[in-house]
Amino acid sequence: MGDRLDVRASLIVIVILSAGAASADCTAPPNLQHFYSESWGIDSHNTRFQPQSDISRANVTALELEWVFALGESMSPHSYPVVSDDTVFIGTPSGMLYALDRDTGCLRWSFDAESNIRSGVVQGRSPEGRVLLYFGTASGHAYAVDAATGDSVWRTDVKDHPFALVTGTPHYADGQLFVALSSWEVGVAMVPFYGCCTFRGSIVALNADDGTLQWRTHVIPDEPQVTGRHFIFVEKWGPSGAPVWSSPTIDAERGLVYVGTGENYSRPASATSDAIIAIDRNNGDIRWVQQYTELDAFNLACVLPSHPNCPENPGPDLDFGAPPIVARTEAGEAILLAGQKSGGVYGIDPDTGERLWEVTIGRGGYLGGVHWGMAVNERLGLLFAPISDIAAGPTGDVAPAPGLYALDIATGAARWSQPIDDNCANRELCAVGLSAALMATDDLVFAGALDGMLYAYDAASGEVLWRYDTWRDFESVNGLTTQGGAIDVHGPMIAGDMLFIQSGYGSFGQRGGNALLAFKLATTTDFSDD
Amino acid sequence: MISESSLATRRRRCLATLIDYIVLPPIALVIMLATGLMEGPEAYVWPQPVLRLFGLLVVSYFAIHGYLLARRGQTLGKKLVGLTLVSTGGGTPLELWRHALRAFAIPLALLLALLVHFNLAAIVALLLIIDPLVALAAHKRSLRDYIVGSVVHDHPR
Repeated sequence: MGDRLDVRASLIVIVILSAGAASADCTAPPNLQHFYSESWGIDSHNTRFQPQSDISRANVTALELEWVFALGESMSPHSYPVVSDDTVFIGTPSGMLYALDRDTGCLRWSFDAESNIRSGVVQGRSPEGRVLLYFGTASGHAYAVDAATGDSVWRTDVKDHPFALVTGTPHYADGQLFVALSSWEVGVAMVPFYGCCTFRGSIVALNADDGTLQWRTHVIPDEPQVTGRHFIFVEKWGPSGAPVWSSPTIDAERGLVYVGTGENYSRPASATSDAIIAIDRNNGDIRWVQQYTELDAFNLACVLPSHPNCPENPGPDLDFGAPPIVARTEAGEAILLAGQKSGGVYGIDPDTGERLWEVTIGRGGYLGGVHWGMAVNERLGLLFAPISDIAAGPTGDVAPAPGLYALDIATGAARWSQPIDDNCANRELCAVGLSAALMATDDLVFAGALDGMLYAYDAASGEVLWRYDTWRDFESVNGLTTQGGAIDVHGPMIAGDMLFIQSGYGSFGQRGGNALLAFKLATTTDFSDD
Repeated sequence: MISESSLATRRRRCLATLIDYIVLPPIALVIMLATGLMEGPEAYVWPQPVLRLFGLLVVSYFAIHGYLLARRGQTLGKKLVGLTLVSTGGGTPLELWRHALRAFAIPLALLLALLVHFNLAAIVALLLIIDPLVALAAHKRSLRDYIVGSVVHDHPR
């Protein structure tokens, strides 16, 4: 009798579970009551610390691949998801914004932005309670899309130069949308007949409800002037460059927006390139500038021999590609943390810009050093910095030191480091290093590697607790040919019991791919520590 | 009428075409640099690059060959090799517009195709091969010659 009851109970459980699986109703509108992040960096401070994680030291080995979605046919997807309780919103290089069911990856709706969605997607709530999704495109537009329906709400052309584009994820805060502008001009300078260069990096603040411009601040205040000629006729222009590649960081307490800038494209160099800049969020006035590499004028013409558009004495191209992080020390002091492609990491006074400490943990180069993003765990007092150290640019005789580093937030002192394994044997277009942004949880740090490996580290010791090789082909839920490759740019997103990561990035001679991978904690595992 | 014996040999036509191709790029480069045609960022916003390069091709072509074409029905290459372009209907000199159509029919088709879709342009680009292949036939007339009603023959010295 007891056995019969057990069998019946089991059948009932199976039926309920089956019904649950089948109930992934992709025609239903997304549940928008709760999101797992409010910005690219999870919070307004861009800490990349995810408090809403069910994944821990105890259960991380129970992460299993749940579904795979192919992000179109391009092999260099560049977007980053925002996740609600039941939906993942992400863009693609072909300009499609997708709302995918969180549990199954099936499509709820799509929106065509008609241009490469290069930024991540963030969310905000309009005064009437409507949830809007914000993102930027390679065409230099910022978009707001209704998260419930996928309908366009507004579209604003934020570029003030033909080559401007939005790469850094827009940041929504209290009805304002802050959008950073970078540029293709760094590459167009390779055309010898082009009069290099006239783009200046900038930040714009938009009214998030209707997309109207509130202010624009060029990080190089001076307009470019003609500085010379080559080929008799072609005019050279400067100052230029200082693009902003990453998402702005908001400090509501001080009313500031912090951004990191890139190198100048031409001479004269400005005092605001390769710098951390604090901007008044109300009017766009620059409050302070702290430059870390002077006279760094570089563009891609410099990788060609004797190119007329390469600035004289070209610089080392040491951008801040990672956004600054506002953190608190264990003593409760606010501190701004920044990592540069040079391999330098800095602690900064957020009120004045004064440099409090600095350490160098990598060799650096065109592709980092610190490339796309660090993370913090304030409970442990740790800043986590990924080092890429790909051999690109003037690296001299210095040995690369790719891996993950944990530094004391207050002092920059090294707490632990974990060199990265070399998994590149028999892999073409493979590099060893951590270039993508990190994500931290209460006791873990997640990092994606250029060799396609996805790691979970113990936040306290750096021990590798889990790894997954994404360098392979996958079967996707949308049926397209799907391959993984290098993990770069935005890195992992944690949302509750799930982890999302894009694998494949072919933009810098690395192995491309188009896979959005969704991992989930297996429910049958015993998670107890003992 | 044009006699078969006065038709230009393929070798001489190739030589004349080769000369025209060699002369064009440096002249186009000077015009491009002097006018700043590809100097500003707006020149690289689609479809400006193809429109500007097509315009540069037309201007450069007539800067080099315009005078000779209008006066003698010859490009520089044809003059140096001793060939001329005449109409099939009686061997009279071609009007300038027919010279232009003969020179730019394929580039124009390529341009229009590019504006529609890159893959279409790849198909249209096959005309660059088909055009001279047609001239291998007995009448020694290229596809463009058939379009404008022209024939290349030896220029009486």
